[in-house]
Amino acid sequence: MKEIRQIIQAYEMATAQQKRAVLATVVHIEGSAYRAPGARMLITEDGMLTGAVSGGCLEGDVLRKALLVMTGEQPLLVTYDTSDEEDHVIGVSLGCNGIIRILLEPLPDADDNAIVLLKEAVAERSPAVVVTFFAEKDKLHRLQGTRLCWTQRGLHAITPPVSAVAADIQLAVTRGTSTFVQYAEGFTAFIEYLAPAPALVIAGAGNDVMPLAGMAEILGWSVTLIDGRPAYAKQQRFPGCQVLIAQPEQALSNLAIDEDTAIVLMSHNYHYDKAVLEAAVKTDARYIGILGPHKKRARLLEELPPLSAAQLGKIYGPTGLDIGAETAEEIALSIIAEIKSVFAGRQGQALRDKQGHIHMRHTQFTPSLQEYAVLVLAAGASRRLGQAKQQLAFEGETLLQRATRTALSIGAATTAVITSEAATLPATVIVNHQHAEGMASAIRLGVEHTDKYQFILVMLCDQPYVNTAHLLQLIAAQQVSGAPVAASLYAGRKGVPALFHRSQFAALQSLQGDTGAKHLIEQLGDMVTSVPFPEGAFDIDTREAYQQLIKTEHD
Amino acid sequence: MKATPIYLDYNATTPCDPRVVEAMLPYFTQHFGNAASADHVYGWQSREAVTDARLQVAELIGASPKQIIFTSGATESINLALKGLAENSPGGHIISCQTEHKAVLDTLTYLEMRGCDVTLLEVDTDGALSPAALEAAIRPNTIAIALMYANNETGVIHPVPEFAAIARRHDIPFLCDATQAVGKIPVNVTSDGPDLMAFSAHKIYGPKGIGALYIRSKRQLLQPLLHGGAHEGGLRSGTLNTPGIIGFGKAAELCQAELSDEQQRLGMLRDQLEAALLGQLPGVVINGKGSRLPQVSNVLLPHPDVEHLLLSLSAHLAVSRGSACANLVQQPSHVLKAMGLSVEQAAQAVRISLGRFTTATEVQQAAQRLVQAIATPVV
Repeated sequence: MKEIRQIIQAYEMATAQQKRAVLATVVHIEGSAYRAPGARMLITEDGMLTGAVSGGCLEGDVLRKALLVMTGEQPLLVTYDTSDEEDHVIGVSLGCNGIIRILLEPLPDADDNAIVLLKEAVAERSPAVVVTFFAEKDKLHRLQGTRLCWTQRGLHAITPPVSAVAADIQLAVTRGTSTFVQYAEGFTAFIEYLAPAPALVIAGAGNDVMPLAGMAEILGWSVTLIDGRPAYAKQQRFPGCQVLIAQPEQALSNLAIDEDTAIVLMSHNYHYDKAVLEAAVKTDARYIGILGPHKKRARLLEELPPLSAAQLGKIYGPTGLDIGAETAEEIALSIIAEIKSVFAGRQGQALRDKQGHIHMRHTQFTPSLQEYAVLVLAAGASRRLGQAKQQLAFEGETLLQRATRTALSIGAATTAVITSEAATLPATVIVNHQHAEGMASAIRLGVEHTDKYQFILVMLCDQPYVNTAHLLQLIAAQQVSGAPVAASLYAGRKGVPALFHRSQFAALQSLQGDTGAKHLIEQLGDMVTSVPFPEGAFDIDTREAYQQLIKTEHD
Repeated sequence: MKATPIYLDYNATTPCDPRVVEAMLPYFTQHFGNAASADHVYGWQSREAVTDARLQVAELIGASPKQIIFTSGATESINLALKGLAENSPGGHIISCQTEHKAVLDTLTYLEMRGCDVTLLEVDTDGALSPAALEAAIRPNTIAIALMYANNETGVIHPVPEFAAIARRHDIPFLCDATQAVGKIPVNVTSDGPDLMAFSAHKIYGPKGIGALYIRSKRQLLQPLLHGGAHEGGLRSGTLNTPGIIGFGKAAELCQAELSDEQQRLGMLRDQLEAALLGQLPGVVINGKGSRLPQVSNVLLPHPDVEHLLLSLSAHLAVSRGSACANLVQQPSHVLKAMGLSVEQAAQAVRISLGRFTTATEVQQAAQRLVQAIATPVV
């Protein structure tokens, strides 16, 4: 985030001086690399570098290649293989062991280039996605480059070479991680998920807060200070921070506190800290640090109304990692390190003692949603219900319409609805004339129509709580695990909705009678990865269940 | 279309003269025969063309065509000569100089590992090597002397006839790397007197990938690096690079015709360039004194970061630091260090080399660019 802001600033300065610039983006890595995908560097025609794409070993060569790119209009994809111990290009052994792909794109002096998209991505403190296309097989392909930016405000696109990417952006947002999606057109999209930078709220504006605020600023975090003492809470004491003079009770109510926020109590005023703590535990803040000994925390917790386990889990008191910190600067280091580790889900241990890789980066290529089909099974006879359950109404639409709408929402290549009679729906409708046989005939018919895809997602129309997020989570779980099937976990068992890789299509085709996909999922046992979905247990098999559903609607 | 930068790195390589390309083109498609094919017209045609080209190349240096063998370039020619001599007299002593090209120095390092003894003579601060020092270094077991005609970085010209006379007096084969001198100044194997001489086409407006080794006599002293077909009298096997050889021949012919005018013209431009830099930038030093090639200037620039300076000028100007280096980690020039420059000074040196297509305007513009960039303080 900070690097992107610095690059935007450097670009604007270069433009003002009428200097040309090239943007270098690490778009993919395999094996280990110092910088992750998303690392960027701006190169201007006078050879100035802003940002970094490596630990310094590749910059010299990237600079020269960028100057080469500047002489034309074509982007260039450069691949460095640092696993070669005696690399004759780099000239020195890097000690890393990986393949680094860097895209160099010219930045024509236009209103619509990569920098415009980056600006939009960091304009507000909210999640954003930036999509950079590269073509491994054609390193000079013109359409390579930063082409899309998605934020909650909408999608900004500069002629992307692949139109199907919107659905894959949605999946990356659901995963909360960056993805690398390969398209049939020969392009790979680096779909970069940018979480907002952490925010730090500090109760207290004394001198000992200065190093903490300063270090947070270096990291690019947004810092807010609250204190009741006007003599301390002065803007000029803390340039670059938001400084609020506030009574502790109101202090947090004026701030938008999300789960990427850390709150640290260091006012050195017990009552002030206590009042802020009482408000803080009710927010989404993921970290609440208390400066002071165990005794202080114990007394605070004793005097506050009882807290839930989740609330207690967010409280870190005494705040900081045990690094023997004494001075205000050292304490700041200890607190910052702890917040960083909590936000990253790490333990804060010495890397020396850690097994395996330093980073946990998922950089494997994943298929596009263009490789996925969805089957909505709606042809089952509803013996117990006594009527066609797909026609039951819920929240202003039939269950069949609802399931179809949810299926379409994930943006798969095709959505097919298997029914027992003709229906008008915004998806492909396939009428199953053998529906009397049972569930298996519908699955077989559906797979027959969609077996050219890599994956088929099977869902029913009588699970009213199935939503877009859950379907995307099934896809994400399969991508991360590599399992042949990803199923929903409810009532202690794995079932539908479930995602099947094409290796399982034959097994689906061989189902008979009234056995459903669930049968195959049980057979595969531990090979199936699962996503918890307690609401999946609720299906509309009986009139009582439907009445219960209608009741929730009115509540 | 953006303007291309002014090219002033002719010592690294030269563009092919369009007349050379024109001469080569038929030999890719129409006259593609293998010069070794003895049974049909395609082969005969190629062989004839190679014969003509060999004569053109030989004439440029005053040699006889049978004294020329074609190689892939000067580096191969040097390897062929030195390794052959060393293999014939294992454990022998070879004399060379600290300012030689890496093609010589790296080959000697390899031969040292194979048991040879190597003496690298020193040069003075002007880059000159004294014939007396050469004579003093000769031992009873000296099997070769390898000294260049003119230095690729500074353009300093060695007294080759004097070196050759000493070598002949002691009956030691003398290899001369004349890559930078051939085609730029008159080089004549009879009056200059080397026993072996290496040079290449791409420094004289010919194509890359073709070069030659001149061998006065005693071919038996050499051993082939490549076996398989006994081409080039058994010293260099492999199907002849006919288009390359034709291009080399044409390039040699053009150089011979235009050499004396061109030598004068480039010398004048080079002097103007040096005068402009010396006059406008306090602290500029020209590296290398005495007799120099007309087209090159090695200049110490008063700038703290010459690498960055050249990169920032790369859109307008193509010149190089020291010599073109084999890898990205640029080492300070061994030539300049041998001339007594410190590592820091050597890092400030820039080699500007002119050639056939350089105009007076370009030289003025280049000087202006450098002066502007250096005189403007870095913000």
